[in-house]
Amino acid sequence: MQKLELYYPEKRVAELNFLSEYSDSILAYQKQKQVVDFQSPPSDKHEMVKIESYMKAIPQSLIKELSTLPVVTGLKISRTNEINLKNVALEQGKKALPLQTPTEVPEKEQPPQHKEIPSFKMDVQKIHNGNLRLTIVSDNKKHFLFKMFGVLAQNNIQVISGNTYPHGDVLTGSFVVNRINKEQIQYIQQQLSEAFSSTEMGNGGFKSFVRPELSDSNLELFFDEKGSLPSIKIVAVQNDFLLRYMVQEAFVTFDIEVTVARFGYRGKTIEDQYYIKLTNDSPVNLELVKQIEKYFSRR
Amino acid sequence: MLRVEIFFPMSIDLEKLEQELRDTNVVSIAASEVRLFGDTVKSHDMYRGVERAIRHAQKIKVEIVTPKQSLPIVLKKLKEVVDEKQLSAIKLFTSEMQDLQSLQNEVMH
Repeated sequence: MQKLELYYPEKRVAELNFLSEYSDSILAYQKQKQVVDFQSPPSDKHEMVKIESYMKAIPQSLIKELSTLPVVTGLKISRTNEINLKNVALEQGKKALPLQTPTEVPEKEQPPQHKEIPSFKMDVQKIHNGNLRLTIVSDNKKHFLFKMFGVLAQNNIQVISGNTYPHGDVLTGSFVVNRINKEQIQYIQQQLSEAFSSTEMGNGGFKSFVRPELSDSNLELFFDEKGSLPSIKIVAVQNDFLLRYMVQEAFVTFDIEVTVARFGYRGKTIEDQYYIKLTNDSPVNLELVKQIEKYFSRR
Repeated sequence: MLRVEIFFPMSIDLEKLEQELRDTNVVSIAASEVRLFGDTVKSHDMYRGVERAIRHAQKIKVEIVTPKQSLPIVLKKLKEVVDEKQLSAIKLFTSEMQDLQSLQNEVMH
């Protein structure tokens, strides 16, 4: 096996779609910031992604095709071996491990038929006491709350109450927040629009937050599996903009997708209920909730 | 030295994995979040009533640097984690590495 590594501007990564014609294994990319040209003005600097592609052998035609692209940087080819864990004996040292196992060659990948363009719609409504209701509708469901609470935390805005519910292919979120001025609303709308129009999770482009200290007494998790969907209730005796964002960070980390959620806020206590979408990959059970608790205790 | 690269789902318990590997004489463990593309992660979704192909998935890439002689035990530990979590289609790659000490020795002689 050979491994091809290169860096490419994130915005132009679609130009590398032809790689899937060559890669008979997997193609991975991870976000990595890199300045391309020190001579260029700051606005010309690109956010690069690192592309890693594993292939049986790298054909000359691929190298030629890559050489026609002007912005390929850091091209590196190295040798690697693929090991099939199924062939690994569980008894230690029983047999020598094959370093070069034959790999299954998947059928040629079909190019995607439709582009993924997440939709985003925001509506602002003035309600009682000068509070505002922000209604967000987007089909970017997977990281909906992560992006939403990230932008709100960025702007030090606490959600008083709210909920999310799915409707067809979209998820609708309604969030009641304290009075904010027009300029701030426009700024938040722009930030949300940018966050939701990207299928990337990244860190949401948010600045690094100084996280509040958590202890057992100020954050509790309750698991309920009685209903049709399992739910996790979060009770936090702490008034901090970041708590809900941190909860979403944990959900992203554990690959938990929320469908219906309710957010409540009483005095200084946050009471949120998240109904979890069931997937085959990551079962939602008490063990997972304990892992999340452990995750918070390490923060 | 060998570098082992393995791709896990996001739900993997990294702390437990680290504990499992702690006694196996590994030099380092690094984890990063990546997106995987390819047939193995292909799924379908409905977008505005039209079916679309989703060709990527978020994964945790774990890079382990280990002496060659420890590879069997490292693989055994990884297999135990994979079997326990009933994970399938886990990709694992190994590549040669040279440690700085042996490289310096080679240069000196």
